Amino acid sequence: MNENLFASFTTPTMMGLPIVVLIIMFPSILFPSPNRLVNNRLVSLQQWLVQLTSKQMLAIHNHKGQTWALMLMSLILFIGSTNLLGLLPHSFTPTTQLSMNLGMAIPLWAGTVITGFRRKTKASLAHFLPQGTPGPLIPMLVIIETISLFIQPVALAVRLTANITAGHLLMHLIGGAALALMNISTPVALITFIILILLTILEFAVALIQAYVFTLLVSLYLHDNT
Amino acid sequence: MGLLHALKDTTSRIGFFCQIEILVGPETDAQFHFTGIKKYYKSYTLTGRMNCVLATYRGIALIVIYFKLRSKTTPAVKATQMDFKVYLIF
Repeated sequence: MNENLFASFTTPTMMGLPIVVLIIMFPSILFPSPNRLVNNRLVSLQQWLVQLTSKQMLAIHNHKGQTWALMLMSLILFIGSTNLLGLLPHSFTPTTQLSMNLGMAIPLWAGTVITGFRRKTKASLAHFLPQGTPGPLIPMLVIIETISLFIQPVALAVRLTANITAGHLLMHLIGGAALALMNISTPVALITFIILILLTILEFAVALIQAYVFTLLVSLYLHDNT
Repeated sequence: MGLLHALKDTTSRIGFFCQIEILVGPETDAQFHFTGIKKYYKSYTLTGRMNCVLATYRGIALIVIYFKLRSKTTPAVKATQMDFKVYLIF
């Protein structure tokens, strides 16, 4: 049992040395590289999954957007696997750290915006003003659109952080409550345990959905700028 | 106002101020024929929208520069001997 509610969110150390880099790199071990024409079941399943996701995600993109295929697929696999591994008891989840999520969101968003400004400068600048805006509203709308542009990476990072952190906190609280209620009232403890199981199933879904949403939004920002 | 309400189509509304052409395919600047300042600062064309955005940014930059320069040139109020005597009286 953790000492306090937030112990699982502190940066992990082993004998005084931070091991957060090792933990971030760990999910890559779970994805073996295919080195044969016909692979084993695990690699074939992995390839099928990547093909399914990439077909669905890259369908809307033109040739320039599809050059980001490797980046987007790596992103969804990394976030999905990190979130799922974080559901293991007493494990550290890197995606609960806002610093890490900002470190992913800001460069990707900046990359899409810079790509847009380089390829289609006029259209990128015109994007700040919706077509048909009445004259007196133009300055206000330009300021609002500029702010909404700069909010995008922050929203991306905070969305992922908040969803994963909130889920883990809830599981921790309800698990603690179920344990405490065992001695007080067994039927209520049983109901709490069932709620915990349902929540865990929800967290599995949230882990995958949040990875998909993060990648989809980056893909949409790229689509707007290519 | 009654006349504007009668015109529901945006294209028709723009037609009051400029000549328009209905072209097949995605909307482009070429289908609008604005004249004068509207050619460069109208929110219906791509060029117009870009120029409005750049003009807004320039305006904000000018306001910021104006207030920065004004705060530098305004001299600080220094206490004088007269102020000190007035303080002593009270």
